[in-house]
Amino acid sequence: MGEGFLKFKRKVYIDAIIKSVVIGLFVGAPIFTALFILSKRQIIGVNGWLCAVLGIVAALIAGGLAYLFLRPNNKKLAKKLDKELVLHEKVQTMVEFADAEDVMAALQREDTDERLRLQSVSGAKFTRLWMYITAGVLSVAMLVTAFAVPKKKEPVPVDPPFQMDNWQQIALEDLIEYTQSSGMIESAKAYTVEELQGLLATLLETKYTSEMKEQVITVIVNVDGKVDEVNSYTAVYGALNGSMDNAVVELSSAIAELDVASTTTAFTDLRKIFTYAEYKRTTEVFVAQTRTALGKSGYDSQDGLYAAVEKFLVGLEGVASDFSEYDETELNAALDGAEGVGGIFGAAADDIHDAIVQQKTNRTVGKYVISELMEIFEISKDELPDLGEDEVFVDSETGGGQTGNEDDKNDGGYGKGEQLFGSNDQIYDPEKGHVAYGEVLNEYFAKVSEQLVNGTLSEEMQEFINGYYAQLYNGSKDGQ
Amino acid sequence: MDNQEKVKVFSEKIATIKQELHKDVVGQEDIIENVIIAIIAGGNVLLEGVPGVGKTRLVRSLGKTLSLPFSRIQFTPDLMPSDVTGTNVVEKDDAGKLKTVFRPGPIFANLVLADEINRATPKTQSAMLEVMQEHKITVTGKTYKMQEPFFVLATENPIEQDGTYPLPEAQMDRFMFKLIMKFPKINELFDIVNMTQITMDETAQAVVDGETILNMRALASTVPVIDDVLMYTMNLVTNTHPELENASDTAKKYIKYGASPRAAQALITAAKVRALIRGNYNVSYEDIDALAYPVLRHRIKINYNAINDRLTVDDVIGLLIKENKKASK
Repeated sequence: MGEGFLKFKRKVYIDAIIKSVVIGLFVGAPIFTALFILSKRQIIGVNGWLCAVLGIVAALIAGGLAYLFLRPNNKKLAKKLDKELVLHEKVQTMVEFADAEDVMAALQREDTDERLRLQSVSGAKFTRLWMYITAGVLSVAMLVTAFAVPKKKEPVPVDPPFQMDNWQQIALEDLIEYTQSSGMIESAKAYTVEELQGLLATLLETKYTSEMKEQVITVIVNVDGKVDEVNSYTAVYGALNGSMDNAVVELSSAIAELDVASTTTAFTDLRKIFTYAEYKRTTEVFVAQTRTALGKSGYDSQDGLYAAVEKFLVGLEGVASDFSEYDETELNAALDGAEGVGGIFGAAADDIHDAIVQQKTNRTVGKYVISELMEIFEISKDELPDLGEDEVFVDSETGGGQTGNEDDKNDGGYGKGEQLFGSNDQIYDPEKGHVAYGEVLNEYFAKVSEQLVNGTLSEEMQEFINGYYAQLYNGSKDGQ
Repeated sequence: MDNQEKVKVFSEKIATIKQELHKDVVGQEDIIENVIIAIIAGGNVLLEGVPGVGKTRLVRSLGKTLSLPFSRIQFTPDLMPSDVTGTNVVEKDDAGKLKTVFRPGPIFANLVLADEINRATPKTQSAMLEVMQEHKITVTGKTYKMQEPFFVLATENPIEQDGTYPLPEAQMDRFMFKLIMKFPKINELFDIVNMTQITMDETAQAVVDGETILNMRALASTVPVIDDVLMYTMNLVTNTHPELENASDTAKKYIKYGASPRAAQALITAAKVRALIRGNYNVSYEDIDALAYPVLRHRIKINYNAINDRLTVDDVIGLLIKENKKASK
């Protein structure tokens, strides 16, 4: 083809490219805009980059298809030029007879190309220009809109103001008093009281609910952490129970008992391991293994339970050295008696029992403080961080146990096997603090009886209440 | 001479011919151009016009300009075919022996004016059929070829139709064009009167000869035509047939009989000449549209619907062209 035709061809190619780009934009822009806006408004969960990719892919496909359709072939271009430049089919003839060798065809080509060379390329009009301009403008407008639409913001929770009510203040003061009079170990008690007093002072100045909650939650976490710190039961029990030495494992079972009688029985069983002839050697091994296990518990000599066990071990060591290796029955029996080994084991049972009970009291008081704080200041469980697991207080018969978690059901007291006794449940007495129920059973029954005599309860109710206390006195929850 | 030169000469010659003809014929530019186209294309022309508009003068002037032997046949009802073609006569030779000699009729010329052809009997008219189509004549079994270029220009008087014999379809189809010579405009009449006051004789001079015409014809035949234009032409001709499945609405409504394939041939052949006359090296739609009237007006027969709607055959051709243009877009 001659230069005249080619210059128009180039122009039309450029026009086709521009049109294809505009068409691509016109297809891709609304897709991107729609997806992007929906994404911004969080109606769909599509990443902004993915919206862009999808829009670009759609634009490329549409633009590509448009280009395939719009790109000029010689015949189409010839027709367009003949029409727009009013050349009366000269260009079409030139294209159709491009390869003809006869002279007239050659003349015709030459003549036509000359005419085209003399024409300006603007003669080949960009058809439907207004349409493409409109499409381009709309596309750009859509893209601008896509970016202009703001992201959906999460509603900023309004932080309501806070002013401590009178009853909250009184409740907090009561809680401080309760703690002070509780059976909690002194270090934990003092810490908890200090935390609560500090909280009281702070909350009097606090202006916003969010601040209040933060402060209360901090105290809760601190109190819980302190109780964890002073309660070594789980760690010690776990360390001893995990030992390879059977005697040490037996010791852990002894620690598991939660009443004195049971603890004593457990230590009696432990004693059976220590035979006369092997006493010294058994003691040496036992003490070493136990100390190794205690070392793994992570608690030190200041801890009550740790101290109780260590005292027991020291006692054993003291007596063991006196045991004769020879079978001197009288001497050994004397050493084995209540003043010797027997006394050591008996004392250990009491010491360990006391230590465990103390730790249980620590947990109970701590839990009470936490639950009261949550109730007074309306803090839900979901708002609290994970406070970790509480100690597992083991039931020696089943190997399972009661936890200190308030969510667990209290089936009433402790005991062996399926039979549970309610009278030893720990209750909170306003005057005495946490006490075994059995200790105050008489007093409560006396008060109830007085009410039964002077009150206006129906005979049926009176009979029910009497029956309840009868069960308690009998020591069986189910009345058996 | 190379073809570029030939094209240049072609244009110059055409201009010269027109110039010469205008010495004797005032106005009638379209008629003159179409007659020239027909001659170069190798076709015959049927000229319709009232008496005195210059039909005979045009042909005579044309004969002079083209320096071609010219003959005029005045058709009358008593004209016999042999009066046209010629006949064998018995003659004595120098030795006194009797022999038959063919005496050629007036048809034996390059340019033949068949004046008032519709006045002759169909028998005589049919004598023209063979020579018009094949440029040869058969008399008593012997065929005589006409000298090229051979051109018949027949005339018809549209007024005196009583006692005339309308040309049969077959003969009509032999004419490439039917041209209607209109009454001159007042200024043209003015010039005619002034001119003929000086002399009634034709003053045109010979500017081309037969060989040149033949060369021009050969050159014109090489003008390229694109398929789209060819298809456009075919559609135009087929759209004149109401009986066809894809007939145009105009044909269905206004046409009784459509044009023959000769119409398509005539259109393309003549269009090539027209393109070259106008300095173009290709045939365009415009050429086809312009020549549609002279090519089709004697080949299609309009029906009573057209007459009722007061449409002439040219009006119907106009509608056909419009419909064809629309369909081709």
